[in-house]
Amino acid sequence: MNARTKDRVGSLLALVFVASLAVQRDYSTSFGGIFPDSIMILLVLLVLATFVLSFTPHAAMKDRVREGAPEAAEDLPRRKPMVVVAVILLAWALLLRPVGFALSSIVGFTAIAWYLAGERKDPKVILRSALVGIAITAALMLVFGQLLRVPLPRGSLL
Amino acid sequence: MLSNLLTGLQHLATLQNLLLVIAGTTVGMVAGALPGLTATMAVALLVPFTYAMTATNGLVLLGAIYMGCIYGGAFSAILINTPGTPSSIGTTFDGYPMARAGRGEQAIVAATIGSAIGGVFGVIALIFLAPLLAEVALRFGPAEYFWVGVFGLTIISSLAQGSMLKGLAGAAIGVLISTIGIAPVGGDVRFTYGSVAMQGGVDLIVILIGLFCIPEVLTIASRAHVRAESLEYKRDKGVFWNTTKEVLAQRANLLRSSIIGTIIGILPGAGGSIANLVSYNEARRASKTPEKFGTGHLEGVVATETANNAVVGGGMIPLVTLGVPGAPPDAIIYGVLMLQGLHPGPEMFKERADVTYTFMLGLGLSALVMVPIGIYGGRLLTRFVATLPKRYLVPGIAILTIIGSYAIRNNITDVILMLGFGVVGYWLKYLGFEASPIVLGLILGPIMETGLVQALLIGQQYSSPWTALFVSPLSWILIALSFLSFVWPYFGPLRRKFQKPALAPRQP
Repeated sequence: MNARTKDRVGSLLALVFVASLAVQRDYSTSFGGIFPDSIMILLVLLVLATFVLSFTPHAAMKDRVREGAPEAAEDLPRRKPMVVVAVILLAWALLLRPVGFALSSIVGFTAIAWYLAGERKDPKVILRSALVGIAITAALMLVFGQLLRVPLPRGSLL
Repeated sequence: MLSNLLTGLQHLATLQNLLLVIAGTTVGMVAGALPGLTATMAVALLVPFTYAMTATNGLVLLGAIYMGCIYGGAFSAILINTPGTPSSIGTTFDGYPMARAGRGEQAIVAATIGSAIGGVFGVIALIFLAPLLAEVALRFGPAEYFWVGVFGLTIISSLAQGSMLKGLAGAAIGVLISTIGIAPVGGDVRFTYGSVAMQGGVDLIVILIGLFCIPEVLTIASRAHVRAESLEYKRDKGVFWNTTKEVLAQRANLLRSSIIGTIIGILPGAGGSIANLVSYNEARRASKTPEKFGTGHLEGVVATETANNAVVGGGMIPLVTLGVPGAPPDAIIYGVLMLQGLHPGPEMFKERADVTYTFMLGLGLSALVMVPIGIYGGRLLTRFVATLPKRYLVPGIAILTIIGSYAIRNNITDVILMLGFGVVGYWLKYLGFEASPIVLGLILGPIMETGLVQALLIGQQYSSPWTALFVSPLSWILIALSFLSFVWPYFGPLRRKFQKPALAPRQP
């Protein structure tokens, strides 16, 4: 995605965010809305300016310069591992309520470590990932749960 | 002040705090040396360790982690040619060529001594300037606090990477997120999306962990296949003392870089990533041998590493006096202050002077402790960093983000919110909206809103309540500063037309 497209997509998303707040405007006191309303107007003006400026010849020229730069390839990190890790993280968080910290962390840790092992996805890698996951989870439970007395999620099922 | 310093020293000189400084500095160095882990991320990840601690212990630990992390970035910059943190980008320019030429130990020693001197300089500035600024802050009323917020937002937007418009828009997004929940004046319940859990607003630490850690976790995951090749260095007799003498002889470079780091630290949101490059450029301008920069020149390493550690103390000045974070990691420390029931401002130097001075002195001690840890443990550290598999690093970080976001309110919804903010934060960053302005907006939003609404209430005596924002001279000074910081980026191109060409850092 080039910089101009990023500007346009970013502006539209910011407008959606403002709209999601604007539809909830229901202030019971006179001072409740002064500040957020002013900032909403400011944000709309800023993103509209960004949107309009993305159509200028200057923006197009800057894009051409960027596309020729050697770091342009860096703009595209490998998306698949990011999506997979994000999905595992979400599943990990959703598992916290039913199964608690210990089990969800072992499963989440093992899944990510196994997935990021690259080509070597044999049973040994799963076993090693699980062992490291168990060790780290146990160590953190000991440090937080026992030594620091910081509460960790308990599962409702286990 | 002297009695406060002595009290701070007394509190710091306990076995517990001394161990926390050593442990925090070491952990910070490890985190800082890991490419991909920024100082902000490291501080955010380790916040949960402070939940059960007293305010003093927690702040001493986080301060040491922050100081160690900024220094640790130099190891990977010098030995892997990849800055461990963005604060060490400039260190790669000369540090890596030095390591390649077999002068790795010399580069590490120069970075260590420079970091220690810069760190101590920043802390001295903090100890002497912060109480003075706190005295000024005592005269601040609601209108002045509103303008402090405006100043903070304009300056971070003008320093934001990329588009200034997007910097300002990001700050406005942060401010709007801060308005979710109950209004600070009047008690209106706003923008909760129908959720009762949102009535209390979104917890700052949850957002900070999400915005600063998750995008980095995803980025590290996407590059998990890339293996960093680290250069080795061995300790030779006499190198430490000879290099130390050589570094100490560069008085002007050390002083200039320390001042640059401290001033850039004071500017809200700027931080070490800017300070190290500015300092490098200025050192090169001032050098008698500018042509050597980029080829493995000691002056370059000293300049960048001195400046980035001076940022630590400098950034704390607006934080402890006004509640405005100087650098992104300060935002996390702000969150911890709030969590511990401490409110930045004059009261930090009156009622809670014991905590404040212990914290400040702890930062200074951490800068000193870096020297033996870095010199004796540096080789072990680099070996650990080079061999740590990213496939364990990614879930290891993830597990800490989960603990950190859950344990604040024992709420699993906060974990899901943290992940949501993280994924949104990644996309916002991809689209050019950096996390720093958003976070500063989040912190300054409540300060600005409370200031504005209270000023308008006071302004009922005037024909227009808005007049209250413009009546005091302090307000006008802050308006002028805000205006200057807003228009400053536009002066850059103009200035360059009349100046000799800027010296761009030369890549090795």
